[in-house]
This record gives sequence, structure tokens and C-alpha cells, in this order.
Amino acid sequence: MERKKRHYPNFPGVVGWIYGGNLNFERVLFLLHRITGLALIFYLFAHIIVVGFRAYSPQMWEMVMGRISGHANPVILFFEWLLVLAVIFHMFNGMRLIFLELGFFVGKPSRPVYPYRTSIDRQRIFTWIMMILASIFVIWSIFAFFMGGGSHA
Amino acid sequence: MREGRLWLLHLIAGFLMFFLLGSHIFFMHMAGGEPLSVEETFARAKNIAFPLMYTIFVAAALYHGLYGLRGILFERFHTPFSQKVINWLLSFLGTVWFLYALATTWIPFFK
Repeated sequence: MERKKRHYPNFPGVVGWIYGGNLNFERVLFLLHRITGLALIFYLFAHIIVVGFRAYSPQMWEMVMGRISGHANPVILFFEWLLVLAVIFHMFNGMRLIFLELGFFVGKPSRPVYPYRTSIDRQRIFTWIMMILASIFVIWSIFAFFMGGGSHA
Repeated sequence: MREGRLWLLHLIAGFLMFFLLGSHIFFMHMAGGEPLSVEETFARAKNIAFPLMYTIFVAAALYHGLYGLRGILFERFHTPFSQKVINWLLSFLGTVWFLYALATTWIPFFK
């Protein structure tokens, strides 16, 4: 008796994040958006627990912050900065996705006349603008974290 | 709820997060000062604007994050049964985490 096929070829799964479709600029952004999104949701759970210590007492808060703050350990400071990088990227790329999903910056529909233009060409300017804005905040974060301009340096 | 509405909520939560998370990151990590000191932390906790803002923030963050995780899990587990399990599991996880965050946000305000 033939076994029921359990794998659907149109569901490439996790590996399909990389090989599905062309590996163009938007594809790389998609991949990074997922990786940063997963990192942020798992971090959020840990963050809620850590921040929750302030509900017990000021002494408890001081003790916890003394152990895990970027002040205490440069390795923690570096990972905090990586987290801020993930947030900045996810925020600006997410805002790009919201605008595109709602139909902004994709251009008006046109007849398919040769040479064909894809909507990717039209959106790419907006994509670059959002990534440049994200880069400005990344540079600011380097200053804030490692050059004495922020709360943790 | 219909899938379209859940997706729209995901977008609205994401749009809210752009400003809420942006200001949180800015004030906590990039604006300078000592925002994590005991004095500043508990002064903020006593100002009603902050617990209110953080309640909306945590709700939006948990919904947005867990809906995103749900989409990723649905790509791997696509039978109706497994999707139902994922829906229940993530709803339970989100509710428990939200209630814990709610309690720890409001307890210092009323203390």
C-alpha cells in the first residue's frame, strides 16, 4: 500500500528561506527580517522576566541590574548593541513592508510592454531610503554604546 | 477571527511598535543619563503615563511577535491539527506572559 506523501513541495520549510526564489536584495532583507524577528521574540520573553524583578523591591532591581547591565560587563554591552542593531533593522524593514503591503511606493499598474518593468524596480528606491535611515541609527548606536554618548557606555 | 483581521492587527501592532519600541530604545539606550538607576526606574513606575504606555507596548509586542512566530511555524507544520495546536500553544504563552508583564508593570505603581 502506498504511503501518504507527507511533504508538500510548495512548502519548502525553513531551508526554503534561503533557496526559495532569487537571492536578490529583498530576499536578503526577508531572511534578516525573520532572523531578527525570531531573536527579538525570544529576547522579549527574557526581557519581561528581567524587568519584572522591579516589582519585588528596589534592592532586587539594583542587584539584578548590577549583574546583567552593560556597565558591568563589556560582553553584555556588545550583545545589547547587537540587540539594538536587530531592533533598528527590524523596525525600518518592517515599516517598509507595511507600506508596500498597503500598496504604497509600488507604482501604478501598467500594461506589460517590452522592456518589462517589475514592481521590484519601483519599490527599490523606497527600500534604499529605509535602509539608509536604519544605517544612520546604527551609526548613532555605535556612538551611544561605545563612545560615551549613551546610557550604557 | 478571520485570517485577514489577524494579519491587519499584526500590521497595526507593528506600526505602533515602530514608535513605542523606537522611543523605548532611544530613551533606554541612546539618550544618555542613567535610565536604569533605581531612582529613575521607580520614578517612572510611579508616573501613570509609563505603566499605561508599557501595557499597550507589551500587548502590541507580544501579539506582533507571536503572530510572526505563528506564520513561521505554519510554514513547517501545515496540517490542520498541528496548526490548531500551535494556535492554542501560542495564545496560552502570550496570555501568561502578558499577565505576568501586566502585574510587574502595575505593582510598583500601586506600592
